[in-house]
Amino acid sequence: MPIKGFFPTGYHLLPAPYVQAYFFLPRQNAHGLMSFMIDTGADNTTLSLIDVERLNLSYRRFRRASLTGVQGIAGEESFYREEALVMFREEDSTTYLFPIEVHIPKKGDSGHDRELQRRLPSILGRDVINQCNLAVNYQQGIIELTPPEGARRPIPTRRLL
Amino acid sequence: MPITEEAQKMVSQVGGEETIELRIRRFEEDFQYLQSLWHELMNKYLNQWVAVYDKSLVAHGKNIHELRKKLSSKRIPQNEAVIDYISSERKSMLL
Repeated sequence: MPIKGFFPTGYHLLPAPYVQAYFFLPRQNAHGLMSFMIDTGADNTTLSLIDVERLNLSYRRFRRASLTGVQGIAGEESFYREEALVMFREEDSTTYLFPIEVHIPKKGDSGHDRELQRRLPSILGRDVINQCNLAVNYQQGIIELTPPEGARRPIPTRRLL
Repeated sequence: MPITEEAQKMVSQVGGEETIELRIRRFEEDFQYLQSLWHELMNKYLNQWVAVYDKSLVAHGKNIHELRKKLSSKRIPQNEAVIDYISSERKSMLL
């Protein structure tokens, strides 16, 4: 069975596909629930500043050496890279775990910049999407991520535990 | 430690995969609950941050610091609450 997402209203000029997941950042022993906007244009899964704060992640503990520039349509921004895990649930209660290298935005210099960073969604990028079949049909309200059967990744956690 | 071992450790720490599955389910419901309130929130809490937990609106604040303080005082886990900004502006996004 697929991992199901949906199109929330209110956020965007045009509804966008979202999916909910449990997120782990082992190096800081941090975890929590998160909504991701599914973005086939993004290479990497990326956290919004609001989710960084919700998880109480410490910027002091991010490695300076992991800082990398990421190009977007509006220019280049810096992000820290961290090993992380994202867990999704299927309708039949099976869970899937994706090990990823998550991107975490460097905080803006001013309060205004940080406020704008907080209002952006966390993004599920192709590091996860490319491991699945993705079906999106706005007219029918369908967003389905289907992990391929027998694939090495994602790892069904029932097999792990 | 390999990431898969870390995964096992962290999943157990949170209560096992069944607990996590239930939490994701509850979070999905909270997210949808927030969506259902959207128009009401636009009238009451425009340009404010709001938080939903266990299908109820648990806090609102003029800035994120005020909201987080309220959540802490109510002992609501921020990492499990749906937190959002109620804005009248819907800007185009190119991420």
